[in-house]
This record gives sequence, structure tokens and C-alpha cells, in this order.
Amino acid sequence: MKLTTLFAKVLLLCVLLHCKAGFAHTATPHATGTQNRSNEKVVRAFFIAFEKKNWNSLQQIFADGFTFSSPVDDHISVKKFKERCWPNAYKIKRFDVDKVVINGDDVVVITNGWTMTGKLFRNCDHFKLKDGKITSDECFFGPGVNYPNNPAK
Amino acid sequence: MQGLPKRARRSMKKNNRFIKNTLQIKLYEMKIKLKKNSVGCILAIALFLSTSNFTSLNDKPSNEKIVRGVYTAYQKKDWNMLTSLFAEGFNFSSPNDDHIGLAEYKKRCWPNANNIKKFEIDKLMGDGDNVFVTYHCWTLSGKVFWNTEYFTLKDGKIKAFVCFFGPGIGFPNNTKK
Repeated sequence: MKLTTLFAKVLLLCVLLHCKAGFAHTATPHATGTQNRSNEKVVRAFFIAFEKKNWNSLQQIFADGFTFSSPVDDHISVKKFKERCWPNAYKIKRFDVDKVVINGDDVVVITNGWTMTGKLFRNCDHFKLKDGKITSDECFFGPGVNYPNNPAK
Repeated sequence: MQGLPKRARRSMKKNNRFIKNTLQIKLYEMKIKLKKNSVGCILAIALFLSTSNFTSLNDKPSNEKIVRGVYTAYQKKDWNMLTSLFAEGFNFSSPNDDHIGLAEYKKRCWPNANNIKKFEIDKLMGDGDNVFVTYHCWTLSGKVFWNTEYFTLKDGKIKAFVCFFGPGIGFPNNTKK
């Protein structure tokens, strides 16, 4: 009988621990959900800064040591990014964010960008963030002109 | 019991003892049953909790598994395996392909499989029926390309996927690079 009681107690403890773990499982997505929302806001601010041609607001969301990559840029710094990519902002009419998938500090976005002359560039950007700032952006080219100042298209 | 004869009192005492003993036995049996039931209940609850937890964990990887299957099929050059993952009305897009159907996809994209050495998946991110994959791919001639693909699934089948080109040659049979 004592053995049965002991067994029951051990089982009860297991159940309690399991429930506790269950709560932890439900608590994590909530915490991640808040982080996801704030990271999404930061990433959307990236495209808004391009639309508004506001370099200062763009710079604010970059972490120290930010890098940018694309089929034509290999992990360039903020300085190079300003020199090579920022001039495109003046030819961008608007960005439509089509898809966003967030996994903690990784945010993948598909955007349809429209140039002032009505050309489309549909790209996919993979942003990595840390403490609410963008540490890197990898841009993958889809259909269209890829970027407004593209001399090849 | 005072007015009763001695014999009758003894008999009643005996009866009372018997009843008391029977009640004690019944009580003991009930206790045992209760313990057995509680152990059973705990076991049932534990089983329920563990299974419900497993299903919630197993729901997500299934789309991931399906998407990983695409790269395995390319590496193995197994067209049948690949098509088993596609839904009816499947379409594919890339900077060079605008929502092409399965027949066109086989003609234009499948020949690349013969030049693929291996895929390495860098990042796979799912949100329900939408899955993003970033990968590095090496061709048999040692060239590399780094792309991102966006998959849309329904009922465990791939309805569509879009390929975005990153650095590198874009695709193995690219004649321009």
C-alpha cells in the first residue's frame, strides 16, 4: 500500500511539473508575440523611411555594425549602404508590404516597390534584429527592376 | 440491552462485532478502490496532457517537413517525390518565371536538378501555411547560389512557391552567369 501511495505521489508530482511546463509553453509565445509585434514595427519603419526619404529615421533603427547584402552587395556597411542604396529612395513612390513572417529576431518581408515612373520591383528582405535594432538586411531579388536605379533594367 | 437475558445480550454483542468487522472490511475495500481509481485518474490526466502537448508540437513541423522534401527531391533527382508534394494547380514564380504551371516548371526548372550537388538550408520560418526558406546551393561544378523561397501550402501540399534570387548565379543552368 505504501508503494502505491508513493507511486501516486510521484505521478502527481509529474503531472504538476508537466502542468507547470505547459504554462511555460503558453507563456513563451505571448512574450514572443510582443517581441514579434515590436520587431515588425521596426521593419515596417525601414520601408516608411525609404518612402519618406528620411535618412535620420532610417539610421535610428540600425544597430551598430549593420550590414546589407543583395545580389549586388556583399555585407556592406551603413556608410556604403548610404552611398549605394539610399539614392534609390528618391525614385521610390511607395512600398506595399505583401507578406511578413516573424520568428523572434528574424523577420522576412516580401514587398512590392513602385518607382516614380511606375515600375515594379518585388523583393524579399530577411532582416535580423537585436534589442529592437536591425543588425542586417539580406535583400533577395524577385520579378521587376530589382531596385529603382538599376541600369540593367 | 439491560432487560434482555444474558444469552441474547451475548448474541447481540457478537452480531454487532460482526457488523463492525464487515463495515471495516467494506471501508478498507473502498479505500483501495479509491486509491486505484486516483492512480488511474492521474495516469489518464498525465496521458492526456502529454498527448495534447505532443500534437501541438507536431502540428508545426509537418509543413516544414514538406518544404524540406522539395530540396531533398532535387538532391536525389526524384521527380515523383517532388510532384507528390505539390497540390493540384501548383504554380511557380521567380524573376524569370511568372506563375508557371507544373508542365512548364518541369520543362524549365527541373533540368537544374541534374546540376545540383547539395542544398544547405540556412533558415526555415513558418507561419501557418506560409513558409520561408533561405538556402545555399552548390552546383556540381562548384558554383554557389543563395536564394530565398516563399511557399504557400494548403492541406499539407504545396500550392505555390516563389523564388527570390540572392548573391550567386541564381540557378545552376543560368547561362548569363
